[in-house]
Amino acid sequence: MRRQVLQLTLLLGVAAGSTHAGEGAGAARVEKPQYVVTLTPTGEARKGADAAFDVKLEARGTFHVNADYPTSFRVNAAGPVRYPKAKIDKASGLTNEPCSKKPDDACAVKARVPFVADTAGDHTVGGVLAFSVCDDEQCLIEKVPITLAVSVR
Amino acid sequence: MKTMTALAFCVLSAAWAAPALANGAAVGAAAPDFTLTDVDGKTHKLADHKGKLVVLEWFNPDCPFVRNSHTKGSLVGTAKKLGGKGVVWLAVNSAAPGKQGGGVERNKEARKQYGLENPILLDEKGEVGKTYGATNTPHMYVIDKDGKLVYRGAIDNSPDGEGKSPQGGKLVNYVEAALEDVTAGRPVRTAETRAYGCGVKYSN
Repeated sequence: MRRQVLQLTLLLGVAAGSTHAGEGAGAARVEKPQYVVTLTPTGEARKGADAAFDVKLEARGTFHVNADYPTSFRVNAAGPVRYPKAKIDKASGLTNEPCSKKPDDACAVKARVPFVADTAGDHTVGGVLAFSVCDDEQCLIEKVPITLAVSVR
Repeated sequence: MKTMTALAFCVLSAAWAAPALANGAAVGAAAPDFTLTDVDGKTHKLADHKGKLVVLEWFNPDCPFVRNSHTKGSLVGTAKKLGGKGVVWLAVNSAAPGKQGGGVERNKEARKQYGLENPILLDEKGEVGKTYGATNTPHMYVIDKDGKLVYRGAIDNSPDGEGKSPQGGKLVNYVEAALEDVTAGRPVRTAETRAYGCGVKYSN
């Protein structure tokens, strides 16, 4: 009985924590009524080799991205994961996507964040996305920490 | 044919020369006069301040850019400091009744919240805001001693409101810079910028 409980617990744990670079298994996600922020792996991560994940902000409902705000993604450099760029902003690859109904407004921003893991195994990548979303009634300025678990081969 | 060409040229020239921002508050022209009541019920008329430098700050206490600027950025203590040098600083809130950040009570609280000593004028119909072409909070206007508008736009070049992301690397307080230029008797070097922040909460 104890063995079965242990096996079940293990299976549930694997299912919950399934965010791996290279397997397309999942993405990290922070969701609020006004926006969603996601980190998505872009491909396989190998020890010592270039890898990347995509960070994306999507405004929801009546909100749009405040294009005047200096949106940026600051990485959390720690442990065996190195990032060629400590901060990604408009000048270094962050791009806006227009709203479908109001092309003059931006409804999403995204960037590709490169990294290199110096060792194989399970690692955490991520950082803090700073941005502003607004609608006719209010603006929000947010700094959202978000991380993604990656398996490096 | 020549008349048609000349007429077309005139129309095109007029369109090209039209100011980028509408409604009468153009840099280099007389700042439109107005009369508004502050949150204490006192009436303020712009024309009463002729002979002094005046700063108008479009304000909304619930806008996070206003909050940032007043707690971490370029507006911290600025009105008080410049007031000590004889500059008249008037905050104007053009939020319509029921809109975010509007109303007497909220703005009285905001005075304490942000440590403000300058008047906060309520423009609930939005008439003054629209006359000036105020689009954001904060949106700043500097008026010289002759009543001429000499600067309009952002408080500074850091559109996070915190002063931490200055465009070009160095933080510039455009209002202080404009006042320095005017005081030194020289043309304002940066007379117009694009304001950043929340939209003014007009009724429509």
